Amino acid sequence: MSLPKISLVIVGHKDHGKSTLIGRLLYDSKAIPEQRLQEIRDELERSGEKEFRFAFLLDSFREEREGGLTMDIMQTPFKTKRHLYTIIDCPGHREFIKNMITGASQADAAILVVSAKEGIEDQTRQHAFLTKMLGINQLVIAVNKMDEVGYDQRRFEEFSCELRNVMTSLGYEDPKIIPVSALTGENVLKKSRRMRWYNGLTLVEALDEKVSPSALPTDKPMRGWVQDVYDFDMGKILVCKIVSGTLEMGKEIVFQPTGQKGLVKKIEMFGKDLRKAEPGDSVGVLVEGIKEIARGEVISYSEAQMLPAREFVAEIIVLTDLEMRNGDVLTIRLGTAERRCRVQTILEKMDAVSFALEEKFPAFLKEGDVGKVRFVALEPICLERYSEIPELGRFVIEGRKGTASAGLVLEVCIHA
Amino acid sequence: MIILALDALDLHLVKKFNCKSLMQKECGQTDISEFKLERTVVLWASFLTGKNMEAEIPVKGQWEFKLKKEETFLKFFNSPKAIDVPAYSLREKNHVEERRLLKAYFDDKASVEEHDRVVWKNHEENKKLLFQSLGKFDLVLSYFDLADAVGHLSFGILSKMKEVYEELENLAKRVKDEDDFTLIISDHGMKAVGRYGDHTRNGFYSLNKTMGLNVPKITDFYQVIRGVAE
Amino acid sequence: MTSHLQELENKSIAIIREAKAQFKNLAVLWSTGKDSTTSLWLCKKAFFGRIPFPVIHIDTGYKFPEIYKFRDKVAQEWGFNLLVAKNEEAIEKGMSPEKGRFECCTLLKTEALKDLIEREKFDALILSIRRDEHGIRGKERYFSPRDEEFKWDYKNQPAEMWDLYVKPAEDYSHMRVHPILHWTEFEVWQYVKQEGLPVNPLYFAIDGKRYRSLGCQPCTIPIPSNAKTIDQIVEELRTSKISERAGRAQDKEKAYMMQKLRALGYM
Repeated sequence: MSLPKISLVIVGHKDHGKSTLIGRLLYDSKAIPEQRLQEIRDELERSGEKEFRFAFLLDSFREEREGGLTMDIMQTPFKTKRHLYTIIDCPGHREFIKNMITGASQADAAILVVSAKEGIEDQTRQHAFLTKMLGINQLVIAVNKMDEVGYDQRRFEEFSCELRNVMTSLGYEDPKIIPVSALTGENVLKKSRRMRWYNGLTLVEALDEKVSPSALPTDKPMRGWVQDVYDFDMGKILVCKIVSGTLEMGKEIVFQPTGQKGLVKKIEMFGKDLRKAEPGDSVGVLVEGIKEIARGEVISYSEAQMLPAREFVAEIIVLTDLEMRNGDVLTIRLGTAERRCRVQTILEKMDAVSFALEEKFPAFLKEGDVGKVRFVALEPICLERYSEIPELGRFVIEGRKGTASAGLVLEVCIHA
Repeated sequence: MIILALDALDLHLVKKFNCKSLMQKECGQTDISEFKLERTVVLWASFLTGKNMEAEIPVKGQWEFKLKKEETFLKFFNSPKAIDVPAYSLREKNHVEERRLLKAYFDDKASVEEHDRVVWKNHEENKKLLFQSLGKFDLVLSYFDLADAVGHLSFGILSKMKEVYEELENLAKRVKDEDDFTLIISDHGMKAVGRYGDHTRNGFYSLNKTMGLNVPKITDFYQVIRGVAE
Repeated sequence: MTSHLQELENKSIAIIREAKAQFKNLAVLWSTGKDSTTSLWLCKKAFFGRIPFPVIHIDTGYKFPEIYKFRDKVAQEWGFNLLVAKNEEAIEKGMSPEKGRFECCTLLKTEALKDLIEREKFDALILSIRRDEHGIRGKERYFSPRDEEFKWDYKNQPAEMWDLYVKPAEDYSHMRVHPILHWTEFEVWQYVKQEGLPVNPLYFAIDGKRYRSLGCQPCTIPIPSNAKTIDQIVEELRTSKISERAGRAQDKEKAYMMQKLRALGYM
C-alpha cells in the first residue's frame, strides 16, 4: 500500500476503444479477481454474447441486468511498478461533456486514446484541448486499434507525426505516443509481439515514466479559505482549509476581503493540537483579535497578502444550455466564496476542435463553447491565477440546474 | 407407448437449443395453474392419476408417497414398466443423495460441481435402465430429473443448460420410434433467478402424432393415454 | 496516522463541513456497519467531538439482534441524537421478504426513510456509499440530488468540478452527501483499525462464518471465513474472490432459492 495513488482519466472519441483499453488495463494487470471474471463470463453466456469483450467489464450502466450481477470493477485500482492508478470514469459522448469535465477535474493524469483506423476526430481534439485547459500535463497518448491497421509501422509513424503537431500546438511538449491494441493486448502492459518494429515503452511503462505524484505546494505563499465558523463551548472556531503554504501557530493572518487581522492562537484537528497545517489540511483555528468572520473569506500572511480583485480574466467553458452574454450578472463559486460578478466583455471564443480563435468579441458563449472572458467583481473576490495556485484559480458559475460553466483564472487585476 | 418424463423441461430452451427430437411432431406448453405450488411429486402424481393430487400429498413425506397401480393409467397396459417415476417407483437412494448435496450447497459445504456430478451419474443409471427396457414392454415410462436438478443451481448459466438439453435431445433421438406412440412431458418449466432456476407455471409436452391439443392440463393426459392404450 | 489515510480523512471532513455549511437541516444515515460508523466518526472529528445533527437508523424490524444491541451501545457512548425510521404500519401488516424482496425493501426501508425525511424536513442526508461497492456507484457525485421519488437521473447529473460540490438547485427533495465515496473497502478497514472504532461483532467469524455486509436477517447470507480480527479480515479481503456488494445481490437470489426449494420440499 505504499505506492503513490494516481487518479487517471481516459479521454478520447467514444468509438476509439476507451472502454476496451480500460478493461485491458485492469485485466492484464490482474486487478480483477478471478471470481468476478467467471461471473462476467457466465453472464455473457446467459445473454448470448459470443465472445469475451473487454468493454463488457465496464458496462456499469446497463439498466436491465439479467441475473442482477453488477459490475463494480471500474473503481478497482491497478498497480504498476511505480504507482497505484484509479481510473475515473469518463463517458466520451458529446452529450456528456459535463461528465467528461467532471471526471477530468478530479484527475492527476490522463491517457488520450486515438484510433489508428479512424484517425484524429473532432472529439479527440476537443478532449485534448479540454484536458490541457484543466491543467493536466501528465498525459500519454495511446494509438489504439493497431490490429485493425495490420500493425503497420508506416501508418503509426505518419499518424504520430500528425498527433505530435496537434499536441505541441496545445502546449504539450514532447508527447509520448504509444501504438497499442487494447483488444488483443498488444503493448498495453505486455510488450508487443506483433509490432517487432517498435522498440519503445509499453503504454503502462510510458505512463509510469511520465507520471509523478504532485508535490504539496508548501513553498507557495500561504493561502486558505474559511469554510465555516463553529460556536461550540470552547469559543468561536474557524474551520479552514489550507490551500498552499503552511499555516503556523503564533503568526498573524489577514482575512480578505474584510481586511481583518488576527493572531493564530490554536490550530486543531479533533483530538490534537497542531503547530502547523499544510496544504490539504482541514483544521479548526482559534484566532485572536477578530470580530465577525464569514465563510468564504481567504486567509494569508501580511508579507504575501492575498488582495481582493476588482477585475479578472478567465478561460470559460460553458457546460449547460445557459448562455453567457456581455452584461450578465452571475454568481461565481470559488473555494467557499460566492460572489456576484458581471461579464464585462467576452473577449474571445475559441474553437476547442480547431484550437483556433474562432471569434473576437463574440456576443455570447453557448453550451460547449470555450472562451476568454473579462469579469468585473461586483463584490470583492479573492483569486489567483490558475497556473499559480489552482485551488484559488478555478471556479464554477451556477445556473438554475446546477453548475452552468467552469472557469480558470488567467489574469487578476487588483485595484486598491 | 413410450413416455419420457423429463422433469422441468422448458419449451423456451427446447426451442432455443433447437431440439428437434424433443419437439417431435406436435409440442407445446401444459397448464398447471390449478396447483398452488409446483411440486414435482404432486404434479407427477396428478399426471399419473388424472386428478389434482395436491391436497392429498403434504410436503412432509412427499418423496415417500406411493400410488397403487390401479390408481394410475398404468392399469390400462398389460406390461407397463415405470423407471424412477415420482409417486410410484422413485429410486429413493439416488434422489436422497441429490437432495443432500443440494442442501450442502446452500450450507456452503458442497460445490455445484459435486452436486452435478451425482446428478449426471444418476442420469446415466436411468438411461441404462431405459435402453434395457425398450421393446420389451407395452409401456415404458421413464423419468429423468437432469434438467430440474442441474437447473436449480445453474439455470442462469446457458452453457450448462445447453449441455443438459443436448443430452436430453440425444436421448429423445435414440428413443425415437415411428410406430410406437411417444409422449415427452415435463411437470413444470423453469426460469432464471440470477444463476439459479425456479419452477414456472407451465410444463412442456410433445407427441410424435398430431393430436391438436391446446395447452392441455397435466391431468388431461390420463384420458389421452387411456385412449391410445385401448 | 499514515499520510494516505490522513488525506482521505481530510477530504471527507471537508465534504462533511461543506454539507453543514450549505444545508439547514442535515442528518446522517447509520446502519451500524463499518462504512457508516466510519462516517459517524468523521462527523465527530469534523465538529470537534460532537455530531450536531440527528443520526438516522432505518429499522426494518428484521435486523440481527446484534445490530440493535450495538446501535444502542454506541449511541449512548458517543452521545448523539438517534432517530429510528420504521414503517410500523407495514410491519404490522406482516410485510416480509417472503411477500417479495423488492416490495419488502421498498416498504420497510425506502418508505420509512421517506416518511422521516418529510416529517423532520431534512434537506440533506449523509450516506456512506463508496465507488468501489457497486458499478453504478462509479458514476455518483459527492453531492447528489434526489427527487421526491428518490430517483436519481444518472445520465443527467449536474457537473461537479473539483471540490466545488453540487449546489442545491431547484426541483429536488434532498441532497445526498457521500463523504467516503473515494474510499475503498480495504481503506475503511484500515481506518477502523487505526482509529479503534467499534465494530459490530457480526463482522467477525463464529463457527467458520461471518458477515461481510450487514443487511436484514432473512436476506443476508454469511460467507465461510475464519477471520476473527480486523487484520484477518483485511488479509481475507486481499485474497478474496467475492466482491462485497455483488455478494449481497447474489445473497438475495440465494436466499430466495433456499426458501423456494424448502417450500417445494427439496430441503
